[in-house]
Amino acid sequence: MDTHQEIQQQLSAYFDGELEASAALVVKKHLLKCDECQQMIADFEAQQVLMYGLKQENPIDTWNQIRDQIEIQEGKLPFWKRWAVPLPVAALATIMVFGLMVFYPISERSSVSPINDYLSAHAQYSTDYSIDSSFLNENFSAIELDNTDSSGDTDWLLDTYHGYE
Amino acid sequence: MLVVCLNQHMQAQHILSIGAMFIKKADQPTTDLENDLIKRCRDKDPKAMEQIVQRYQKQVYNTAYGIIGNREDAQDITQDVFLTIWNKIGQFRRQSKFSTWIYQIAKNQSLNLKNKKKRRKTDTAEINDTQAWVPVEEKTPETKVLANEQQKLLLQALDSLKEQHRTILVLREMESLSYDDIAQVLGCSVGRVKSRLHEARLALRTAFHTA
Repeated sequence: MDTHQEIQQQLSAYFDGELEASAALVVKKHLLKCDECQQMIADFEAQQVLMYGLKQENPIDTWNQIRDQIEIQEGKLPFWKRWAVPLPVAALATIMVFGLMVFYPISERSSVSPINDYLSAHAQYSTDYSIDSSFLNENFSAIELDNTDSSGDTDWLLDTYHGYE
Repeated sequence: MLVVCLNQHMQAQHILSIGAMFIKKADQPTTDLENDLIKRCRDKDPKAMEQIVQRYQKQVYNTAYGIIGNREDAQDITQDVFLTIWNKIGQFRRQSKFSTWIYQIAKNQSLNLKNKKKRRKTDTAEINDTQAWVPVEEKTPETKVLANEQQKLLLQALDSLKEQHRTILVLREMESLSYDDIAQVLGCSVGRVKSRLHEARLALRTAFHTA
């Protein structure tokens, strides 16, 4: 005699009509008197309907997409199609780069000579005086590195700043 | 909430009758037309491939969608599956039906993508893909009211299942494959399909009740 648990294990196959006739009859008889198993079958039915409701149409034109890929693969894609995607992308990229070059603001710092900037920082570090690097830029387009030996650079710059030279 | 939804659904007798109507065995053997298409496809005839795509795109797309739960990924998988068929149709040995071979490829590629995404931990928020759904079957006004909420709950429940449970449910409940076909797609015995499908249905039921 099949127990309740044993029959419950068969419910899914019974529901799908995959049980042999004799086994199906046993389950059918059991269902007449078992509310729990009846509920399980009802839930299986509801789940099945819900899951079937997930089905949907493929929203894209699959064949055209696949055909293009096959033609690329087989090297049969017409010239204009081969460039249909890369060309606009390349054009867009060129426009963006050009736009960046024209409209990107040049930072104030980038106009400062790196040497003057360094000297300014160095002077500030070595003394209590601060030399504005923009002052150096305005007055000295190029400071010879020879003039900035490690021993006298600070004095020289300070003299320059205060107009002693 | 889920139980209520299910009960509401259960009360809609006409829906159940529609559901029962959907469940039919997909056990037609590989037909002469399919054999002809396969042969022509092996000879690299794009027209034959086009017919194969038209015949199976819905099944492939829905299998991928059921397993992954994301429309865009399902579209990508659909394309990849048919490209694989185009490239590897010479490997089809006729030991199974052509349709089961296609389902097998679709299942494998969907699971591969899903695992890849899991590893990258980017598999979030895909469950919210319910708004733009266009179900295949025409729904009555009564079912439309419940459909959206129920589908959200269903996807949440499916997402909590083991991959093998979700896959077998997709093949059976969405694609209506027979136990024999499912066994071939999954590469296991019919007995295993029976027990796994039962486990999967119980797992889905539990997921509904606990959500």
